[in-house]
Amino acid sequence: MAHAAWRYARRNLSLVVGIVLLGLLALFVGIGHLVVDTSKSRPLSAPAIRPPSADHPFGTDRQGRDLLATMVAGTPLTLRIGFIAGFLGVGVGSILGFVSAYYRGAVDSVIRGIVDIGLTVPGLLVLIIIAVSLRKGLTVDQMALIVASLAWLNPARTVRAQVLSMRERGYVEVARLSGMSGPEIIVKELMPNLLPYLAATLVNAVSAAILASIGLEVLGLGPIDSPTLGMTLYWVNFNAALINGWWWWWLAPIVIILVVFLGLFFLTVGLDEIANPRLRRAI
Amino acid sequence: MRVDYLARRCGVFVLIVWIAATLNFFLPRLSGQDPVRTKLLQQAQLGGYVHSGIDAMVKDYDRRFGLDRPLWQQYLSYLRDAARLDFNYSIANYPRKVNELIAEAVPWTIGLLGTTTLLSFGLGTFLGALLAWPGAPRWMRYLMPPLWALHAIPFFLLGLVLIYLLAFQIQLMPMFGGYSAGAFPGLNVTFVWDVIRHAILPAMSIVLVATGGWALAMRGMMVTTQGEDYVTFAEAKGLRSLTIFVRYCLRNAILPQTTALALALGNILSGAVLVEVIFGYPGIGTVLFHAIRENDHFLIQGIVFTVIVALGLATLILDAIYPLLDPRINYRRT
Amino acid sequence: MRDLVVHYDTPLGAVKATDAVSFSLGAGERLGIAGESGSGKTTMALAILRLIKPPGRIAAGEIWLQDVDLMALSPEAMRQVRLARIALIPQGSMNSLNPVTRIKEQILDALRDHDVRISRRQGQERVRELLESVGLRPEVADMFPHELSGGMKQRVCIAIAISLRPRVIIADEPTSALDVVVQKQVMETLAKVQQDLRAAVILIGHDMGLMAQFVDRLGVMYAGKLVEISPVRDIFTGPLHPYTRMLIASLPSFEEKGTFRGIPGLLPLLRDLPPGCAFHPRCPHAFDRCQRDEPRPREIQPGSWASCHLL
Repeated sequence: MAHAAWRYARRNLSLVVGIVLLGLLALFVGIGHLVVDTSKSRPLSAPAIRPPSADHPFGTDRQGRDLLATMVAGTPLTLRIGFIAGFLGVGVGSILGFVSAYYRGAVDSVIRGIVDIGLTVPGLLVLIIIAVSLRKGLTVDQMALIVASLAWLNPARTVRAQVLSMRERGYVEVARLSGMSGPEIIVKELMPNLLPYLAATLVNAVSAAILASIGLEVLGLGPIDSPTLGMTLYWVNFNAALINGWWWWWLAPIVIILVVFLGLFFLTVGLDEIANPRLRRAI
Repeated sequence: MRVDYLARRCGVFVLIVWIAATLNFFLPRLSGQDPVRTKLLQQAQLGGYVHSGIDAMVKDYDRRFGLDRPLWQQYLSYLRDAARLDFNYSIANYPRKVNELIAEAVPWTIGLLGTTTLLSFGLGTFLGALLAWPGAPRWMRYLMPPLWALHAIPFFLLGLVLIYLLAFQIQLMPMFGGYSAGAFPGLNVTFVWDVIRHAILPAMSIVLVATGGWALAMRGMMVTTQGEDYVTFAEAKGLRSLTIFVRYCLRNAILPQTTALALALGNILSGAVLVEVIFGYPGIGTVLFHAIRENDHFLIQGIVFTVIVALGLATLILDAIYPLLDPRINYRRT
Repeated sequence: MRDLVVHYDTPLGAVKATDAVSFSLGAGERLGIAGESGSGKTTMALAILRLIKPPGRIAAGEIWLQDVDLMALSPEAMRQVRLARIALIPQGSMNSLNPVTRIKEQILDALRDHDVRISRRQGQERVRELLESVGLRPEVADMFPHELSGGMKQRVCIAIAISLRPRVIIADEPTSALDVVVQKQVMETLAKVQQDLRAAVILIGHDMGLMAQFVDRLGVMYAGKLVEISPVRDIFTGPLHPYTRMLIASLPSFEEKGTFRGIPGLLPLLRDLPPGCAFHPRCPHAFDRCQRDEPRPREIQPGSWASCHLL
């Protein structure tokens, strides 16, 4: 068993790298919460603009936040937005995409129309309009909901395409002819084949949601008091930390964001490999 | 023949525009904020003095902006104005009109976005195709991992890193703006060179990241295409390897690649907006950023609307070109 | 062909898609290769043209075309051989033509890459002739593949296959996806062009009826091995190998009415072949030697070879 797992790991290197990267992140946050005092992520908890030292391993920012604490507290917040929005988006999107592909007809036309138009419009801009309109102090969860409002579009399209192609293949007809009921077909025949795609779509959606939320935050539309990664970058920009040479301020969030995106990316590739073994090269 | 298809696509375009305009109109009003009052209050605070007649002022401005009429009237006149691309006055920069501000910023954005998109798509597709060709030189394989890793990160992140490395540490490139402060705009070589210098870093942030994505996608398409029956038959025909590569593989793989371009335009734009903000590049992105900061609803709406329309137009054009590439597209209803 | 062995490399080891297949083909002769799906027929056809791709590879064997061992040729030389000396009519012509180029282009590019220098006018003339010889109207030249029916596409492939007057034509299940009426048309076209060119034809398929009507000699493949090869009449009147016998017996006939007789059991997985004779688990006449020794091909009667311990 372990031998087979090792062999698979060697072939699907991406999956392993992705899991490792995200695992490191989880460790960072987990251990961080135990070791670091997260209340120091609030402004005025420490002297301003200090480079990394023993007291403040990541330095401090202009408003007196200890940056290590900020990172430890903020990373799970950013991830949370991504996960909530991603899961909601995939959940709603899968159901709609499925309904659209399975029942066809008018329902399909409507859903497909909405999805097609929705995807042509640049998501960030719509999110901006929404966020600007609701600007009464956004919380992290409100942001997640806003991002989720658009996050269902892509999963709907992907799931619809998948279910359509599965419908074309014989086994759905065979199942129906052999007397399986609708829901039974869905659960026993379609779901198992859909699962790898759902997983890949989910990771994609989470990644896109995190990107959208960071984008909104950098523009200043995020939850102002939260130490999320995007807001930290907003303050970096606001205070011209680049020109002032306060490198520690922007280095930490950038590195963490890099790890998040690279980790999710490798995970997506790894999951794609499971879902689409056709792309496997010769050994 | 083709008219049916084009007509349908144009219809979709008009629909998009209408939905964008409507959303643009209703969403801000949902929150019940009165932009004029907010702005006036802000101004009053700055001046340290609250005018006793502020209500009267609000009423007056409301009238000027047309905010006191019934909603459906506002909606209709909004639609009419939008059709003429008249987005009213900018609240923050009154008395400048919104379309003036947009018109100033658009050329910068088109310049940056247009060149970088074309460059990264062309370069990436070409690289991707080469990577799939067995006859490609070995060293090209080593290009893949960095391209891979790069394309997963957002444009603006790379922008930040580039600014630090190349503009701050090494001082090779200018850090901000579209052109040096105090430079005189004009069609002379010095100014043009100045503009180019300022555009290099933002352009690099986009191109370095996006190229990887296109290359990977193209390589995937090529691999899939190479497995098709018609490629096997082409080989059985004893065709030269180059002929097969170009006419059988490339010609077919480019089709889904072009579709992907049409779909990705929205994302590329979103990324570019953030890049402009980071670099202070005087395009739509920075204008939007300032508009958000100053709560300039009309400007925000104007920008979002313009962008949606522009993207819709670009997608429409791409859709119109696509049948030229793929003869299988019949213009009958699907 | 002598002792052709083609391997497919899988994570669990090499799988022999064809194992020591040997036969000879005379000029102008029609040879049929019959067998179930997965018996290695198409692999053999691709191997002749050296079109086996990873994870497959040609592990051993020689293929001689008029004193030239194809296995020993350089890739460029082999490329010249394809179409000009040996042509392939592919299976599943539904997708064998380039969807984005016109038919005439697809005929002409083969000529061009084989260094046939002709002017544009001559090219158009050639295309028209070729299409006519397979019974297609000249307008087809300007069409795209998706505008043609299955039978028409198949005939285009035949036209391409004969465009350089090859000595050998390999037709890999040319009529599988077509209905009976079109089948007849295509086979007639094939017969006609073969006579015109006096080329040899290797017809691969699983339709015994079709084989009976078309070929001079018939070979039967099972699990990657050629188990019998004889003149077609002898195969039908007196099949030697038990598998062939059961195949013939399973064919429906007009005279006897009754239940169909199939061959019990399933084709073995190529990576899990039974020891000894690969057919012995399904053979009604198997005895203990069949489990131990693999039978080698022997000439049982003049012109008839079979691999079976019973003979």
